[in-house]
Amino acid sequence: MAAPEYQEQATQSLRSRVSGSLASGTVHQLLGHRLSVIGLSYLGVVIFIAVFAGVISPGEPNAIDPINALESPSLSHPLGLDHNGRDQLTRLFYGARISLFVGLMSVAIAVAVGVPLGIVAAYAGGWVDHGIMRAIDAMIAIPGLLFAILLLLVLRGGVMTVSIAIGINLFTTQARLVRSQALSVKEREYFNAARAIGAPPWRMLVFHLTPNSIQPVIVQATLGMGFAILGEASLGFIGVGVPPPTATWGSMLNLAFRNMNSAPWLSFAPGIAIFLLVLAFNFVGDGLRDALDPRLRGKI
Amino acid sequence: MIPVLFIVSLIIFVLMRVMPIDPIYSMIGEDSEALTAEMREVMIHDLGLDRSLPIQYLAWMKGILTGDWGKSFQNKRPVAQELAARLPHTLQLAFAAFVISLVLGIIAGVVAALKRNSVWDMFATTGSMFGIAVPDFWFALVLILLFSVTLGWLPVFGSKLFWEDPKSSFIHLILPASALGLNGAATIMRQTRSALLEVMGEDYIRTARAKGLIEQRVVWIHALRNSMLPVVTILGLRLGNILGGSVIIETMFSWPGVGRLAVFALQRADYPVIQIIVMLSAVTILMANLFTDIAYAYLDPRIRYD
Repeated sequence: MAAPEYQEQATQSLRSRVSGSLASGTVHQLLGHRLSVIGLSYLGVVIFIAVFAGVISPGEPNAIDPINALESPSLSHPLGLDHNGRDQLTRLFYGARISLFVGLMSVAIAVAVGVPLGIVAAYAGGWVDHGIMRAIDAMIAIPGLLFAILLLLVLRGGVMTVSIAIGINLFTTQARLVRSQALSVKEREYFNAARAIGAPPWRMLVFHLTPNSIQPVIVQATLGMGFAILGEASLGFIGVGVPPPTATWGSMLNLAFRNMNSAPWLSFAPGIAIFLLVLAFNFVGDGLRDALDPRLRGKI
Repeated sequence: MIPVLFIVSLIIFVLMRVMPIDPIYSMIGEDSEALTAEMREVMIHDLGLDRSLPIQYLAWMKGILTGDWGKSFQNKRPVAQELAARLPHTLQLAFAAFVISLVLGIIAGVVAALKRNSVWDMFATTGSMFGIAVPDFWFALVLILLFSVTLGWLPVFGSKLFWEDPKSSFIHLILPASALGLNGAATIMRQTRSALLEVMGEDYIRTARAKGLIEQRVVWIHALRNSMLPVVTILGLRLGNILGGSVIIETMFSWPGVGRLAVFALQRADYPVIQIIVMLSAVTILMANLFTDIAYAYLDPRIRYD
C-alpha cells in the first residue's frame, strides 16, 4: 500500500474512532442528566402520538357535530367539543404532528442556511464576511413575528411555508454561532497545518472548518425546536399560520380565546401541550449543552 | 448602522410589493365589486403606485429623511400622527412589562443563587422553566379566564394612558404586562442566578468579605454589578423588541398600540404604515444593541471599544 493511501486510511480510522467516542460519551452524559431523560421520554410519547394519531384518536380531526358544539368534557369526549363540534382530543393528537413537523423542518432550514453562511463568512473574511454579517444584522433588526407574518402573507400556503417563515427567523442565530466558532478554529494549529500542506479550499471547508465548528449548532438546534414550536403556535393563534381546517395547537387556542366565556375548558389542553413540548426540548437542549461543554454543568 | 438600515429598507419595500394583497381592494373592502377601472386607476395614481419601483423606493427614502412619512392607505391619516397616537400605549405596556421582568427576575435570581439548592432555589428555578417554555398568549388567556371571566376583578380590553387616568391605566395594565413580562422575568432570573453563582466564587468577593463588609453590600454592590453582563444582554434584546414584541398581547387585549396596528396594516397591505413601523423597530433594535455595548463598558471597565 502506498504511504499516502495508508496515511489517509489511518486518519479516517482515527477520525471515526474519535467521533464515535465523542458521540457515545455525549449520549452517556445525556442519559445521566435527569431532566434530559424526562424530556426525551416525553418527546418519545409525543412522537408516538403524532405517528399513530390516526389509530389512537377517538375520531376524525375535521368531523363536525354542530348540534353538540361546545359540549363540555365527558367520557365520550374527554376534552370536550369546539364551536363546530369537533373532538378536541382528536385535534390535540393531530396537532402534535404539525408542531413536531414545523419544529423539525424550521430547524433543518435554519441549519441548512445558517451553517454554510457562517462557515463561508468566517473562511472568506473581508467583504464577503462583511456582506453576509450585515445582511444577517438586517434580518435580526426586523421584529421576528412581524417578519414571519409578512413572509406568510407573501408565500401563502401551509405547513411548509410556516416552517420556512420560522426557519428564516432562526438561521441568523445559527450563522452567527457557527461563524464565531469557525473564526476560532481558523486560528488553531491543525487548521494552519492543513493549509500549509496545500489542502484545497473545499477540503479546508468540508473536512476541517465545518466539522470542528458545528458543535454549538447541535445544542442551538435543540433549543431552536422549542422556539419554532412557540412560533408556530403564535402564528396559528393570530390566524396566519397553517390554514384551517388543519388542527394545530395555536389555532385551537385561537378558537378557545374566542369562546372563552362559554367554553373555558377549551383553553387548557392545547396550552399545556405546547408548554410541555417546549419544556421537553429545553430539557434535552440543556442536557446536550452540559454533555458537550462540561464547564457549564449545573450553572445555567 | 446605515448599511443595515439600508438593507432592512430594501427587504421590507420588496416584500411589501410582492405580497399578493391588493392595497386598493383592501381600502375599498366589501364594496370592491363596485369599483370601476377608471376609479381604480385614479386611486393607484393618487397613491403613487403607478410609478416604477425604484422611483417609489427613492420617494419613500426621501420622505423618511425629510420627515414626510406618508399617509395611511386605510384612513388617510399621516403615518406620523397615527404612530404618535399609538406609541404611548405600546411604550406604557412595554415599560410595565420591563419593570416586572427586571424586578421579579433579579430578585428571584439573587435569592436562588444565595440559597442554592434550597426550597427557594427550587421554586425560582421551576418558575423560570415555566416562564421560558410557556407561550405568553396562553398565559394571558389563563390570566383572563381567572381574573376577568371567573373572578371579575380586572378588565380584559382597552387601555388608558397613565397621565390621563393613573388608576384605570394601572388596572388595565396588570394582565397584559404580567403576560408580557413573564418570559423576560424567567430569562433574567436564570441568567442572574448563573452569573451570580460564578461571581460569588471569585477572589475579590472573598477579599470584600475579608475586609469586613456586610453580606448585603458584598452581594448587591460587589457581586451583582459584576454579574449583570448577561442580564444586560437580555435587557438589551427586550428593549430592542419593544415595538415588535407585544404584537399578540396587544391584539388579545385590544390594546391600541403599534403592534396591533402593525398586524392590521400587514393584512391590508398598508405600505406606508408597515414600512415605517419596521424601520422604527429596526432603529430601536440597533440603538438597543448600541446601549448594551455601552452598558458592558460601564459595568466591566476592562471592556473597551476602539
